[in-house]
Amino acid sequence: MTHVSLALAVLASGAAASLLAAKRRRTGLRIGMAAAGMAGVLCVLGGWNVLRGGETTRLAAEWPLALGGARLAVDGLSAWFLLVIGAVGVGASVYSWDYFDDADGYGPNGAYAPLFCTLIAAMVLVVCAADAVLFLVGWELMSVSAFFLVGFHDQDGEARRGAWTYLVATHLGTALGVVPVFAVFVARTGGTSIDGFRGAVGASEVAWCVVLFTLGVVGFGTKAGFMPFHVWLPAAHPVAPSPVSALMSGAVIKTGIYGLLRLVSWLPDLPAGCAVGLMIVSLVTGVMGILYALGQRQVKRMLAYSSVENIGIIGLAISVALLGRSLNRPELVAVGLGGALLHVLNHGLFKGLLFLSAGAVLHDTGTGDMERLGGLARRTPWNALAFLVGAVAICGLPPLNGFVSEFAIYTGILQGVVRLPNSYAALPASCAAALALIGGLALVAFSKTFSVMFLGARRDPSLTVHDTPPFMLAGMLILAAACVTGALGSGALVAAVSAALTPFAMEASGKTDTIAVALEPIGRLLRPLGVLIVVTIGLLVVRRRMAPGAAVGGAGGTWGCGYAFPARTMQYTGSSYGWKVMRCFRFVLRPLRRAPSLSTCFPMPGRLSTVTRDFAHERVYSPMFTWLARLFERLLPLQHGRIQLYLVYIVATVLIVFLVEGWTAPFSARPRNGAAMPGAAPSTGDDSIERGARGGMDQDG
Amino acid sequence: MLRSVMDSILILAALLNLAMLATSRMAACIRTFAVQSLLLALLPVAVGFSHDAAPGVHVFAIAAGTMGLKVLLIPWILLRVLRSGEIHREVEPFIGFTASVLLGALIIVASFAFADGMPLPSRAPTDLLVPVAVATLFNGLLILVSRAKAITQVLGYLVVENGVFVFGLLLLDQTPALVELGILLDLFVGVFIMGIVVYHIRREFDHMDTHLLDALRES
Repeated sequence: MTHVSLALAVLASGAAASLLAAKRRRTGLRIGMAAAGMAGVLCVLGGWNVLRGGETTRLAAEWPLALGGARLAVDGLSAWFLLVIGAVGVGASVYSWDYFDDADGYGPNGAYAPLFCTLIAAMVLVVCAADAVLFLVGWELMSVSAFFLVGFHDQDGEARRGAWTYLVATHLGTALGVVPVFAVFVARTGGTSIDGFRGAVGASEVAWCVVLFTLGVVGFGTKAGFMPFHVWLPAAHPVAPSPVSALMSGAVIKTGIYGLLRLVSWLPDLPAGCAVGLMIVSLVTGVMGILYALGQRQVKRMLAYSSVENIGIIGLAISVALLGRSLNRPELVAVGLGGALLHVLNHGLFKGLLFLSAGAVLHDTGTGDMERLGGLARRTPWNALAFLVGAVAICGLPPLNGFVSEFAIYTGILQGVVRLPNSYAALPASCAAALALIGGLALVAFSKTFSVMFLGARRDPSLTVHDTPPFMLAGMLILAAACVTGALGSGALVAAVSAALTPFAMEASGKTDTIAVALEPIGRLLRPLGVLIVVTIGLLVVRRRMAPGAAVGGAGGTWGCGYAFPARTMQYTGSSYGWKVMRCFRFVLRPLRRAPSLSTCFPMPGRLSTVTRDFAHERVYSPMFTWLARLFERLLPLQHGRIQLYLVYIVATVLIVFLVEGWTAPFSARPRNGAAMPGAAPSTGDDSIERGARGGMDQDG
Repeated sequence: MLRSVMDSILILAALLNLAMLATSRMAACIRTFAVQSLLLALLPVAVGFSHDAAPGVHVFAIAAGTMGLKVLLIPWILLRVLRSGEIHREVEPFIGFTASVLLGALIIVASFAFADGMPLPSRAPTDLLVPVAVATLFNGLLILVSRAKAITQVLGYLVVENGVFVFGLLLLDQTPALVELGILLDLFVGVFIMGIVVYHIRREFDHMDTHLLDALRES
């Protein structure tokens, strides 16, 4: 707990100091980023301590508001998310140190570092809050600071639109899902401390359980990016500064998963239908996410869709756990949630890395359009390596950490197939099939992205490529090293993840070691792989030493299609590489493809274009918001700019309230009870309420 | 005896509202406000004595603060703005003077009718207190909505505050003096800033009509 409070203090002082130094932008930025990095390290250490120690630590402080309290508590689940936030935060803050030197032509205005610190602090608050009001304060702080960071390059209309989309989406989710959930719990328990929330809804109240769970999926799912609510990710992630995208995709969307898990830990065993519902949503999210990713040209937009896909994978694991819980199979709960949490951490690491690397590409070349890039591996080899590590990890290939968590999720799903009654076994079986499909599609998508950007020859010869600045590389290498460590140290992580399941311990009591047993093969698999990595690296070093600079391949280009004298235009484009797969799924993707018809022997020059549009955005949100905008335009005459009439509005409102109160008295307690009027209460404290009550009785007498 | 003093102060204050609505000269308007504030500044002392024989220091503190601020300082600032701004000294109402006074009188009658039904936290020291408070509040709002110039807006806001002040007397021995003084400080800062703003509006646009601000609306 000392770590967490220290981290919050460091973040606050870092934000303040960087504001004070805002005149000298570079200094301000570096002070703030140093603070954010330190706080990240503290979060990781604190989280790890709790996970090893396994006990909940608490902290309470004075709280100035009438509602709620400043109570923090770090249990296993919080600690696990602290780990994610800290790790991604360290990478992103080290990276930011150099990012703004001349990135995109905008220097940092003094706001970046304070907002960055605020965002990290808000996430720490969210995962550590032991009070509903404090949680909502942190949640809102997180949304708003992320909004300003996403719209940081606000000279760009696209960035403004992305930021607004994010703000609207997250607030709709908060208002329609998160706040009602907390309101129900607060009303049930009569207090805002979340310690009492568990058991506030009894197992017999099935309808309430379903309603709360649905609200949670809508509210927290909007933050996380489940499928009908995912539209803000592809809008906001590409336009944000890259370290912010890394933080958003690596950590912010995970707080949605955190909220969902927390909610599930408060609710009693849910009916199996809830688990099935979440499973279907996750399936659609995973498959459609990666399919949309395949159709993108902008690398950061593609990564955003891939985040949607990974949230789907995490959701699959959670739904298997829920299914196990409702059918009374505690070992499934442990394995499913363990897999989900492992994937939360690992996705944070490698998606953070990928976004940082994509940002480096953007920084070095000035464009994120894959079809203009190519051959960057020669010019910026370290960045290529970083992207490669991230891509291998995200595809779930051994020997990296993505493999570990996907293996864990597969284990959970397959255990479900074995252990669930026959009527339900088909569900996890179809999950396994979907996960396999997702994995294959991810491989296509990322092999496309990596090879189009880093291999072959540059497609747009007019691009100039700069070097990647050292601190940006350092930030990426931190996350890449974390990816490797996450795989090689998976034994320790698996042990730690069972400590993270403490909030669910009541149903998985005594079974928390099931996950360690279930995931034991990973250790056996990875140990020889570790040896293999060391040997490969050793061989590479030896080769460098023995024959420096000797080329391996022949004269032809790598993607030269067998031509001895290839031109750059002969290379595969990203779209053509992905088209084979896209065509198989055109019944759901509905890509727009305009191709020239080849009718004669000597066809004229033609243009071919393919565009993939997001169904939810195109068919649901876009028409809905256009309609709403038209509706609200009718209210525009009310805003005429005359102060006196505005005051009339206020006076009219006050009058109406007075009149309603005077006639029907809905806002005051019945005088018969001698209760105090609500109006007497504020700012006077308990004493005056008592006196007021006496006065009221006097009057009656 | 105390009761009749309080009642006469309250009735005078209510009548001064009407006087403010009827005055066409801005300086006179401000002076009327000062007189009203002076009368109201005496009220906390009277209410304090009606509660017990030796009231605490804080009723005197409130009376002194109100007097210093609303009777001397704020009118002085407003008159200075008036002079330095070389404003046309007419009030320029949207609603004519006669109509305003009639409306104001209607408001007073309505407040008396309305005050009976109002649930109160504690017993009022005199029956007139609540109706006059409500009447002053709504008369202030009437000034706010019916007058064009920025400086009359400030004045309307101050009259509203006077109404709230009278209302606050209900809670006199429950509200900490610190809160009351804090309100006074807020008021002072508010008027101070508005004075500066009014001055700048005049300097920029050569007039102080707020209704011309509608050029700033979003179209």
